Amino acid sequence: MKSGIARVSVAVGVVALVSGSLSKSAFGESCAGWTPAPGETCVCSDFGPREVTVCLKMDGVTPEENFHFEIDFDCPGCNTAPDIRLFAGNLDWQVWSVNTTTQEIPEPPGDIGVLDAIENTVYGVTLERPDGMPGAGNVKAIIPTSLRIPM
Amino acid sequence: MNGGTITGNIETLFVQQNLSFGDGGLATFVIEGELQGNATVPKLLDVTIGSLGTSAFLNADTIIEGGRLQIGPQLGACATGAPATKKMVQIDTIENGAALIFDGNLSANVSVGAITGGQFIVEGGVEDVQIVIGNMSSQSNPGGVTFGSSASGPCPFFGELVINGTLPAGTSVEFNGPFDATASIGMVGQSIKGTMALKAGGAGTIVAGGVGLSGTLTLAEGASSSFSGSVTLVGLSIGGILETTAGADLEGTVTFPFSIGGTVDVDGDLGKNGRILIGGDSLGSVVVGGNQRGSIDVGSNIGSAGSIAIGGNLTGDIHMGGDMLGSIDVKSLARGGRITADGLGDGPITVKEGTFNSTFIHLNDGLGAGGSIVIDDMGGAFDAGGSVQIGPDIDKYAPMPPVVFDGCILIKDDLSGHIDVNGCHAADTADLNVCVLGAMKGTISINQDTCPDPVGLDNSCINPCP
Repeated sequence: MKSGIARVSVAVGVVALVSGSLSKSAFGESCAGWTPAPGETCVCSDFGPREVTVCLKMDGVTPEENFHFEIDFDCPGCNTAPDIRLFAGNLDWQVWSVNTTTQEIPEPPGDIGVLDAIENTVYGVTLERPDGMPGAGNVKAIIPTSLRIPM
Repeated sequence: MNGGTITGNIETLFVQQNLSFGDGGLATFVIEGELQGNATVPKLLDVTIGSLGTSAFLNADTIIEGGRLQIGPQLGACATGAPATKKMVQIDTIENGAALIFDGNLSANVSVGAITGGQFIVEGGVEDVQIVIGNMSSQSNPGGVTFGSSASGPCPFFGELVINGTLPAGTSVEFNGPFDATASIGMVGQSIKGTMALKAGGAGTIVAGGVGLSGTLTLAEGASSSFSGSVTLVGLSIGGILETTAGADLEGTVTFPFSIGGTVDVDGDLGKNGRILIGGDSLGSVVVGGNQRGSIDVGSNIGSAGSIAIGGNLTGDIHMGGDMLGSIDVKSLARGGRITADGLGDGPITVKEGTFNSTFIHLNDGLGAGGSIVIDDMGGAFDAGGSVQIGPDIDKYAPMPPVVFDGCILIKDDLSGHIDVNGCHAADTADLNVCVLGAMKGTISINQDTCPDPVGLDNSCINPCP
């Protein structure tokens, strides 16, 4: 693990937003798996075969859902591997997914669907928990240039 | 990605470099599972991928100086020669001190544009895949390629290696496991000036532009290994070496379509199926440390600085299409062994011990002033039991052909075989210098019937061959 040592930017072309998911909770309201620390934002699914909690933080500000990022739990397969889209250009995004169904301590990594970002700006993303544990289990794609159809 | 770890699989990964990062935007991450689809990453610093899925396509610009791309899984059993899948790894440059490492067997096609002081390492075996390397060079670190280097035992190479540039001095390509009969190396028009070694020998096919000055191509190492494949080298420059070492045998064919100036050194035997074919002149040296059962064929001349030395018994063939102007040195000519030249013998042919019957030394155009044949040179009481013929075969229906005999023949023990000198000696004025120090049990025949200026035989041994 060499988090923070090396960075690669991600940039995307023109994209449009999708609507947010209704079946989720934010800021740890009912996310049993992870209690966010100051500066972190966590969003979890509370249905499906397992519960996945996705947390994010960035440099300088506590990320706000649907403003700095969005998470989609509704797309096919997203209830267990949510899609994540970053809006705010930031060099120090940190993203991690936690699987809370096993009730293991520490919690095993959760899955992520498509991780992408919008706008032609600079992103630096580290898939890692704050304690240095792996940031994700399976990941469908990290494609900052993906284009979504408006809904 | 700045970094981090994915413990599972990833289907697609696309990363763009942005130089606005203080460190130049270098990728550092770990995928513990499988890369299943396409991954595009510009500059890699430290990336680990657990394994490649059957349709994985990893495309990276550069593994930067001191960086590393490590791809699993760890080696289980060695490769068995399975055909290539759709897997592809494409790297533009492996920079100085950087490394592309496959922990286990390589089952993906690999393309590397340039290795500039970096290393490409496959710990396990290589399946039936294609590996293409553009250019190789050394910087402060040597550029190198290593296959089958697992500590648990060397693994075989079944693939095709193509190198489109010269292998410069200081660079190396190393095969630690056997080079399978289906394997190949293609360096068409490109020279080996560094080192290429098939440490465990094998078979397969090697084609290269040549071995240049300071270059070495090792086909097998160790008494228990041999090379039985096919090698074609357009050239072998002065200072260039093609070899087997530590007693390894050559059982295959080495072909030089043109002349060579370097060294061919087979430390073990040149086996029954071993062949060294030199299309032009041999201006360097050919050495067989053990016995020669196969053949050495020089299409034209052995040059004045050229030599052939056989440390053991010669039961195969040494043939020159032209003149023998250098030297030939063998331990003994055993049954069936032959040294033949279609041209003139104008250098020393030395047999340290004896010649057995059914052996043959033949210099078709004769023995020049610098030519000599010495048998039992070590004085070990070995007979000259074979045949020596100076001059062409005689056709009784044709005029007697010309022959030259300005050199000498020396038998240091008994002559129990035959010496025949055939032809007319137009320019020879002295009697023929043939000295037998031991008993005369065989024959010396000077066949010059109908020749206008017949010569005599000087067997006084007053001026024997030096």
